[in-house]
Amino acid sequence: MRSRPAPLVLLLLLVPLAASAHPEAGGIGGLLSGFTHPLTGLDHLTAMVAVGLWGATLGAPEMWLLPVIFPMVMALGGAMGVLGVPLPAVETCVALSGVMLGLAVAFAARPPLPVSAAIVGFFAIFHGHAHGTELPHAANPLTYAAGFVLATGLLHLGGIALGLLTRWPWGRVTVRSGGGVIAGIGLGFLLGFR
Amino acid sequence: MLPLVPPLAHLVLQGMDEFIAGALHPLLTSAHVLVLVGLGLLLRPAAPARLVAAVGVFSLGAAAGLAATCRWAIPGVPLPVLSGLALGLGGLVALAMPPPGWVRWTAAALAGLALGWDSTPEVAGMAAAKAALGAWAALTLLVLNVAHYSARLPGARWSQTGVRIIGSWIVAISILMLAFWLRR
Repeated sequence: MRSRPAPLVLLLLLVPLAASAHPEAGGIGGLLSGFTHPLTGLDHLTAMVAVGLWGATLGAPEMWLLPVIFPMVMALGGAMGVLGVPLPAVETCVALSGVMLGLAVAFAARPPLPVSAAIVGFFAIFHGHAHGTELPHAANPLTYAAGFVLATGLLHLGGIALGLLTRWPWGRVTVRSGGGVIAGIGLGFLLGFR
Repeated sequence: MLPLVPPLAHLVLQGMDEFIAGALHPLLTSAHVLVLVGLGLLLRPAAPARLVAAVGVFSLGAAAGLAATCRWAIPGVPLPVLSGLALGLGGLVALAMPPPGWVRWTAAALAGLALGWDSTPEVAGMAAAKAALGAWAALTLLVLNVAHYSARLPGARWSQTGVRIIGSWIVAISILMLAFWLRR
């Protein structure tokens, strides 16, 4: 019986065709690395979601303004971190942000717009600074920055989407309970539990 | 299992690989993507005729930049310039402050010139011309598509806010790009 090359062998002969002329592993790797960075820190993740939850709880215009302002202010903090500009008590403020934003959601706090914007902006600086100092030197910095900003923005929008549940009574209870959980997590970080 | 088929690094269509390489260049350069998206979003509120005219100005600027970089051996545009351009465009989008017509046209011309200038082909002769043509086509089509399809978004508040959010992301990424450049 004549033997025929197994299909797998034929497939392997075609493998070189898949050679990439312009491997963008560096760029894509940097994008993925930056995208996953905000997701790997529970303190950051919960605070970003809390910003979205609080924005949805506050309603318009805060709900629309916070997702626009937050990334820009956070990037300023990130730039400070990248450049090595010192900022005191960064980790403490990051943990504190979880506590305060979580409590704001839990108690459905509705301060005036300038106050809520100032609170969120204040914590955005520290979150950005913490990310900036942690950014690896080996990654593709440009795509890393893009991935990092995208992930943070999507977390924020996810929080807003969850916050829209407040239009229902059960949703209000759920969201406010979630705020309490976030505050508890922030308190844990504040007390040194990691 | 020996690699009997030689690795094909470029498309098999003769003469098309430089064109494709030029066309892909804007998509593979982060700063270019930011400027293109920012400019496209900035141009979208204009009436269709003015939008096409603004894109035409951009295209002419890109052609001029590409022609200059093909004719003379000039270095590319520094990253801070591209980042600053993206930051300005993204900022205008984020703040939802539609600028007057002459500002849009100026921004389009500058963006086209900068991106064309920064798309220096790494080959010479006819290959460089093909790569430049590919880059010019891609730059023009990209900004036109972004402007056209973003202009067709619904006028609902969530949609307009979404555009502003993208503008803020462009600003944020540009700020971080500048910081990385300063750190090196």
